[in-house]
Amino acid sequence: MGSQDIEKKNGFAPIVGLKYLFKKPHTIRYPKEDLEVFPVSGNSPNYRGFHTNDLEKCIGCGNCARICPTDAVTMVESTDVRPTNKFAKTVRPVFDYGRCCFCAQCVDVCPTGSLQMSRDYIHTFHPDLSIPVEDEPEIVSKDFIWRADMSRSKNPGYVRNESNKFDKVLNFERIEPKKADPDKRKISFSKYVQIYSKEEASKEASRCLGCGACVEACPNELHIPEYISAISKQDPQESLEWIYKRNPLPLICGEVCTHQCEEACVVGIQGEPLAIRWLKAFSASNVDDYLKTAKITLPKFNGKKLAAVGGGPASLSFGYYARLLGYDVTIYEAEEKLGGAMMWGIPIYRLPKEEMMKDINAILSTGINVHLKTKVGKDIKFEDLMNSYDAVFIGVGNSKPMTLKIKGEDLNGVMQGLTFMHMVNDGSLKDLKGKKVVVVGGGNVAMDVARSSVRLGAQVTIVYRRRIEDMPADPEEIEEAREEGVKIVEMGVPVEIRGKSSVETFEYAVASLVPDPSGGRPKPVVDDRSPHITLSVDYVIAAIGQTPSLDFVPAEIQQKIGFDGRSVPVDEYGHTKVKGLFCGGDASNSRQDIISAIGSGLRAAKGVDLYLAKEEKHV
Amino acid sequence: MELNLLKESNDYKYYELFIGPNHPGIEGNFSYVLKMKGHSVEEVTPDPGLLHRGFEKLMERRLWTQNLALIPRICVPEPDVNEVAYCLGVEHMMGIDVPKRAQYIRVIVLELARIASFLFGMSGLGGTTGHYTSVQWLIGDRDYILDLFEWLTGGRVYHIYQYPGGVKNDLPEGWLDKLSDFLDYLEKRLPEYDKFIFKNPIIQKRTVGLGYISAEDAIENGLTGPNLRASGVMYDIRKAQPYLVYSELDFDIPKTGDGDAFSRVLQRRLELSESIKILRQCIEQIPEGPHRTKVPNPFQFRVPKGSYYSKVESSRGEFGYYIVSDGDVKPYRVYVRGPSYSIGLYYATKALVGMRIEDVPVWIHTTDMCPPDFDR
Repeated sequence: MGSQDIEKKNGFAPIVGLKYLFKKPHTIRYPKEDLEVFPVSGNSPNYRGFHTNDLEKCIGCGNCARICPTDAVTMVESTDVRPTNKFAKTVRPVFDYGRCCFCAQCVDVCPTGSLQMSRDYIHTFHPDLSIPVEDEPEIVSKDFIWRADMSRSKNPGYVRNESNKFDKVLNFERIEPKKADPDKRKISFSKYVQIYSKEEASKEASRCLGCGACVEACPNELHIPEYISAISKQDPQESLEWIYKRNPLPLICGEVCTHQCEEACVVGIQGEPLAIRWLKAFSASNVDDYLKTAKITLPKFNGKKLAAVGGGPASLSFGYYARLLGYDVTIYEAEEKLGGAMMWGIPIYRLPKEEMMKDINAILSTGINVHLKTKVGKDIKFEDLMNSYDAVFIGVGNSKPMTLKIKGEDLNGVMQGLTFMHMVNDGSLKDLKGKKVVVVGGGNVAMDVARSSVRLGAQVTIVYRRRIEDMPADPEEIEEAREEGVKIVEMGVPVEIRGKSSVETFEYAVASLVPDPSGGRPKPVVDDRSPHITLSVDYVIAAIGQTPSLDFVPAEIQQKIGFDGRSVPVDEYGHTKVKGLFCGGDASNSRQDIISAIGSGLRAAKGVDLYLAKEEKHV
Repeated sequence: MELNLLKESNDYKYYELFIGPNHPGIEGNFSYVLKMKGHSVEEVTPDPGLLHRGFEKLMERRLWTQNLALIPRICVPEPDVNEVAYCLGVEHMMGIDVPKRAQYIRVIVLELARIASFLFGMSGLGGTTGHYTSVQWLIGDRDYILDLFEWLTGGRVYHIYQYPGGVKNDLPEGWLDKLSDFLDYLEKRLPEYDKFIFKNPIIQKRTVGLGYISAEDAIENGLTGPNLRASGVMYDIRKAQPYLVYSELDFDIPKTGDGDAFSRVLQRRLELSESIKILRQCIEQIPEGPHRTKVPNPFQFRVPKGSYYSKVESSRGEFGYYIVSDGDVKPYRVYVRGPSYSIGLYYATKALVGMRIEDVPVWIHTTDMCPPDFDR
């Protein structure tokens, strides 16, 4: 074929064309006809048409709005939706089809898989010509902008469902940190979870969507998306700078935080949530000098003095943030070391003491006075504190354990969980080889007690009055305890402890569970038909919770602040009903964990500042 | 009609002629301002910008993967080269290995898009020469390719199908069979095309010897693709610097020769047959396996500091992306090298001089330029 190759004139040429008269036409007259190439007739099986959104599944995280390259998605408060879980929001995406480019990136990043695209694509728009131009925006907003669920399609196109969820742009699989085997870890108190390497951390951090659902779940509202994003950039310094803005105990929280954030993580809805806690531990352990890295400049003392009672996380956090505001803070601690429940309650296989001291020493280096072995109420009067300081913060935590209230509780070998952990941590209890231990309770303290006993060589049984899934302890704690050989008895209600001078047998009844009509946890009920089981034991350790002890506070003040034996009522800044007396930590928080204590300390520091500024104005 | 008269002599009228988007002989939203002497062109001023949407600037303000929804729009008739070139660049900078299957799928997509673009380009020639059968037939056949694309990617024109690390979906079941059927159909149609386009006396009369581009001129002015090869320079990135799996595929670069408008169209027609050959090999050779590798999610997608120029042979020539990253979640700068830029904006000012007015649209369509290239 070339340029000289010209078709000769041919008399039959018009007749050759006739055959095309009988061919099927190319044209498809939609909607009367459908394309037939696809397995399902119509348009493509994964066509990117209009959006549909499953309101039952949508959690309002807003990732669709953040990824949209054309800003076609806005999150609008919707009154007619119910939040799907306790962290879900009630905002829902609304689409502007004047802007949408149908790229489906919103579907790709939807962590719940609720947002889909349908095979519907006809958009008819019939403006009423009699309506004046001024009213047109209303018509446009009615026709071009709609919430995706308003026209639920039964014709799904481009979707990201369960079967292909590992196929798309989100990463649902967590990078697990290296852990020692159960057999190895149960014979030693050394830490068994290794902190992430730089590559692992960066890879794990790169799963974060940055939506901030975790921030709202965190009792202290840390800057979680920011610090994870910094780790993803392999920059632990910047990450720590973000963490330190609201948390002066990063390594401690990195190791033992109760990580509400991970429960709220949107990636966890279909896959495994981000390991936010381990990421924090990574960035804290990769920074040597916190204060320098966080670029903290200490202000001059402003001449006002504050006292904090108790040396736990609440007081430390209060002291640090009050010091940043220029106050001279003094901490009074009854024990010989700072740290409170972190020091005496948490076993060292979860939180090595040197890691804890790294955090505490950084705080102390800002210039906070500490009086160890000084019990307020005994060595120094509480009233003296109130008189000689501008404000007083109570961060004593819960030190009064709840008792089982059964027969035989005064026998030798019956102990309280916190007392037991104190003995393990100060080294006075070294060996339980061959002993049989029963732990009563299902919280994190019960797990700590059980797993510490395993490490001391004991055979451990946990008796809990509900089912395993009802336990308040972290699921991984329960799982790891079982891996280490802890036996868990469900629905066991303690009945009696018997023995001559020390414990010999422990009897419990197997309860039946009655569902709670109001939707709470089921209630264990013991009646005449419940079978009773007796175990022969050497130790019974009760870890069923504890309440604050404010014995050092004069009864008159206790009454004034409205202390009911369980918690101290406070306002949002931790201010009690007595002027100048603040309270934080387990004594006033509903969630009794370290991060809530840190949060209450931070808020109380702000509260003190506001209070004293107000007082000054009055004078 | 009143002309925009410049001056008048005894023999000629000198006037200014605007040939723009409303003219069926021009491609897309683009215009030339021609200074005419009677029927022939004296001076050419390209007048781009009617299509300018600031792609390169917009890319600096969007996440790396968000840009994938934006860049297909830089070349409307063949959007996939943008996606692939961008992804190749990003993958190179991040050190991502793309699975073999994904590379084959990319080649299939690219070659199908090339065929669609050739059909579109050849039908344009029919439009300018009044040969409307070719417009209707070729556009009709191109639609079968769009059906295949719709099935594969969910979109007919803008596929948004490539993703760093691979492609978004695997090939659907039965898709390759349908592709094979389509290739059979297309091959049956090709002799008909030859008959009514290339053996057609009218088209021959209008194109043979028109707008001759010598090899030296073509190289000098940075022409690439079929326009360059039609002038006898056998340069094709698929052969010169093979990307994806082109080194594993057996195909030739057809030689047509003398650089006139006819040989430029013929070059495309013959390369279309080579694309069919490539596609048939892909259907046979495509391996099983994953169609993408895991990459960080869009919000944490960071490309390490550095720069890279990635290029892909499109149906119009070298499509290149010069990508600069400062290590952030957004590109620092992306420069797009469109293949039509050199011929449409620069070479046209020389090539059109002295040409008769009725030949201008024919010349434009035989170079198969794509004005969105200029205005990115």
